[in-house]
Amino acid sequence: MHMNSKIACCFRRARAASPWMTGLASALVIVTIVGCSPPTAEFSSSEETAGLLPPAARAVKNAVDEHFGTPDTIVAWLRMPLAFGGVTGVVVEDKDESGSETAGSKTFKVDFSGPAMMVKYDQNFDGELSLNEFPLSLQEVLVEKRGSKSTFERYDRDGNGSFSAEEIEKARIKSDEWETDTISALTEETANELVGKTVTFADGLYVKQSTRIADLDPETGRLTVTAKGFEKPVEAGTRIVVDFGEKLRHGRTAYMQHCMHCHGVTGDGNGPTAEYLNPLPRDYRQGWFKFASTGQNDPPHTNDLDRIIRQGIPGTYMPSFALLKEAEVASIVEYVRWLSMRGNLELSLAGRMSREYSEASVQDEIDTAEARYQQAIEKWEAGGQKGEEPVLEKTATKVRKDRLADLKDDLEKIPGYVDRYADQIATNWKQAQQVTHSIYPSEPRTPDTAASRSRGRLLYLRNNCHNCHGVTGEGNGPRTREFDKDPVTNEPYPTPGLYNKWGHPIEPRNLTVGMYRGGRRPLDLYRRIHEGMPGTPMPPYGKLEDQQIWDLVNYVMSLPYEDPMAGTPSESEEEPAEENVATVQEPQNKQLVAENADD
Amino acid sequence: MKRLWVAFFMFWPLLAVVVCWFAADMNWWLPRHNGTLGGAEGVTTAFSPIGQRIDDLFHLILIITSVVFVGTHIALGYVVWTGAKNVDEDKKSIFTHGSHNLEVLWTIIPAGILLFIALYQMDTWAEYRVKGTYPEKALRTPIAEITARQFEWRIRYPAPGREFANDAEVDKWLMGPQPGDLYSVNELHVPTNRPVIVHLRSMDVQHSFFVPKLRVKQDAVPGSIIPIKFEVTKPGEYELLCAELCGWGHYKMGAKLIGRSAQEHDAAIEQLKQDQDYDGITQPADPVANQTESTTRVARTN
Repeated sequence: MHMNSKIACCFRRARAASPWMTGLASALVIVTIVGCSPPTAEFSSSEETAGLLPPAARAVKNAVDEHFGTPDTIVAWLRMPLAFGGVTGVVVEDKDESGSETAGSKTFKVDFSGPAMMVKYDQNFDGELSLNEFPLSLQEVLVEKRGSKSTFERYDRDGNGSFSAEEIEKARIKSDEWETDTISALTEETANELVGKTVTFADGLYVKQSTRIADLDPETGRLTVTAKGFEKPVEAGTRIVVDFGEKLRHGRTAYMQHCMHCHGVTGDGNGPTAEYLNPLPRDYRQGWFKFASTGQNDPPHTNDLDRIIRQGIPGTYMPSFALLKEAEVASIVEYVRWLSMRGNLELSLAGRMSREYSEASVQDEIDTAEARYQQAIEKWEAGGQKGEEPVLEKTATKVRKDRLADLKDDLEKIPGYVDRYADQIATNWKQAQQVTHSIYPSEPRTPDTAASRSRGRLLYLRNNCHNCHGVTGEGNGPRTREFDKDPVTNEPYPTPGLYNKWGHPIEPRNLTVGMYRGGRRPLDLYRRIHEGMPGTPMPPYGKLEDQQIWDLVNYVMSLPYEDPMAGTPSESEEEPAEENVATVQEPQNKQLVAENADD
Repeated sequence: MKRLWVAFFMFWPLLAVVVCWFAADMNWWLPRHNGTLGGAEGVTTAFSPIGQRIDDLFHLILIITSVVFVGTHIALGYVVWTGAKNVDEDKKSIFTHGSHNLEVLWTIIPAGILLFIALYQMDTWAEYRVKGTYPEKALRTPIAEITARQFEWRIRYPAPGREFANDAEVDKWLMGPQPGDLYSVNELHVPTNRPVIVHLRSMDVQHSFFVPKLRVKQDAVPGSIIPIKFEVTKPGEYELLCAELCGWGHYKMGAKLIGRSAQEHDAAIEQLKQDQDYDGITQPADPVANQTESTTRVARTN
């Protein structure tokens, strides 16, 4: 009642003063409009970065932002081996002289069939080059030449400066070789899409001019651009890049639409829906991807990411995105790779800085000093307060002040660290794309016979697979009931069972349900066994012979069936298979189980 | 002024009728194509026989309701229009308690119509939903088992060429994976021009298997396995959607149903098998598969 009268009173007053009402209404409208506008996406700092002393945290964040930007303004850092996207071509002739030019536009002929050249599109280009503008392989030459000096040297395209023309030419050819996989074919369809996009002129090495496309004829290669910001004629041989970075931009849009709500804006597996999921979404920042064709310590091949996006991961919340267009998946893959590289750099930098400049380490020092002081006081009091009273020399403020003073000097080292870590990251990802880094067996799969399965069963027990996956493969081995130790703190985890490298409880796969997260091809299982699962307690068994791994694969793939020998060739092609199973396998298994139990 | 309002309110049902009339011609509410129907070529028809029968039923009901809708609105308009003519404010309105005969009449007529529809559609319903009417051969050769889950369709095919001797064997196959089974996700391969059976189940919540072009819709209920019968008459790709709000990702729970002639279907299944058996050395026959390692891509190029 009281409330009612109060509200009524309000209304009466509002009616009396209608300007108030209008004000309230307009405020409501403004609040609604503001509330409906999309939130700005921001990269969140890692826990490691947040735990640093404020100036260090800021420096790490700035360094990462400088090279990767924000979700809204992506920086295409050419040092990262990514396909940034864009159609490239070489100017064949400038039609300017033939007089076909109309006011406000300029036409020339471009050959779009050549290899791609990646350049950094920079509006504020002023003739001064930073290392980032160079193709990766050229950077390698530059870095090598420059040593660890972190200041950029001025350098022109004729090679005046620290490098000879040959060196640069060599690097340029090398870079062409490497970049050929970023070629985009120009078709009638894509040509129409390109109209209105930015075109960047790169004369061999660097950005010269940039402008917008007015018309593009894919058949004749006639390219008309708006003449704004365009004075000199375009020399034949000039390279152009149309819509540079479009792949990463599209990838961002698609990622925000399909992936962000679980994997998070930053790719840290901490999106809005992540907390409801088990297993948790992948955190890309460490570069550990479980279902890859590459080695256990390598980042994945782009095909692996493509496959996971298309096929999904059964048994987890990762659905299949098979209906997305091929180009869309490819751009998401590129964006995920970019996020992973970004996260990796941030974690590396934060890890490096946290050795000395984390809040925790400062607190440690303060605590130690305090403890020593207390000991001294006790000793002094026990000794009858003889001599001078101990003083707390390292007070909290002093420790902090000293650290900050040290930090000031060390902040200058950050560009050097960025250099080093970026190198590692780029090399790792680049190498993972090479065929030689993909795991392939050297021998074809052993025929899936009863004998092979029994051999596999023995190997399964001999190699302690049953410790986690259980004797029957149900994922209930003894280790699921033991207390694991945290490898960092060496403390046992609060609950029994296995933990992954992210510190989350993890269950060994139940092999009897026939659900294979990384794919069900024999090749997929071979790779899981051969290289283990990055980030999990599953170790690599690369030491086994190929034949042995195939036997294991055959055995594991037979586990889901009621009859353990189902699907094997019934006619005894390979010796008396039936006997093998009945007589040999059983006693041997029992013996092995007993042996293991004794251990 | 009164008549203006009458005209205003009568305008909307008129608009509704006009829009509905043209909507059918736009081919977007009941997608159809030029095909064969009952031996006649070049007839605009649905993509499946059951779809055609459902469309016919739909049109019958549409005609009945349109006649009633238009008729009652004309009557209503007439009454309101003549009433609006009466501008004499002093004249008293007449109060009536209704007509018993009229009440009986307009109860019996709709009841009769409903009864007619209920009886008339029984055959179609039985053919669509009653397992007893499904052809024996189709029941013995289920095409696939479809497991809906948040937010995708996981599909399991029996080993190529496998036929089941009886219902019990089909049930046994549905109990769990068996050697030789093939798998795909979000791509259902179906042979055309013969009735096929797929078994639908759900792994988590309720979903609904919906292929709008084929007019096939069946809820997936956790805990039960539901057979669906349908027939695709025209090879091609059909959109498969989830038609039951199943969670936040419901909108993206789409898949492709790919109809192919028997021969091409067998080839596609064979390709699926080769991709699934890939051991990294024995190269799949198709060079594209070799290059991309992806089953879906191979299917797309086919």
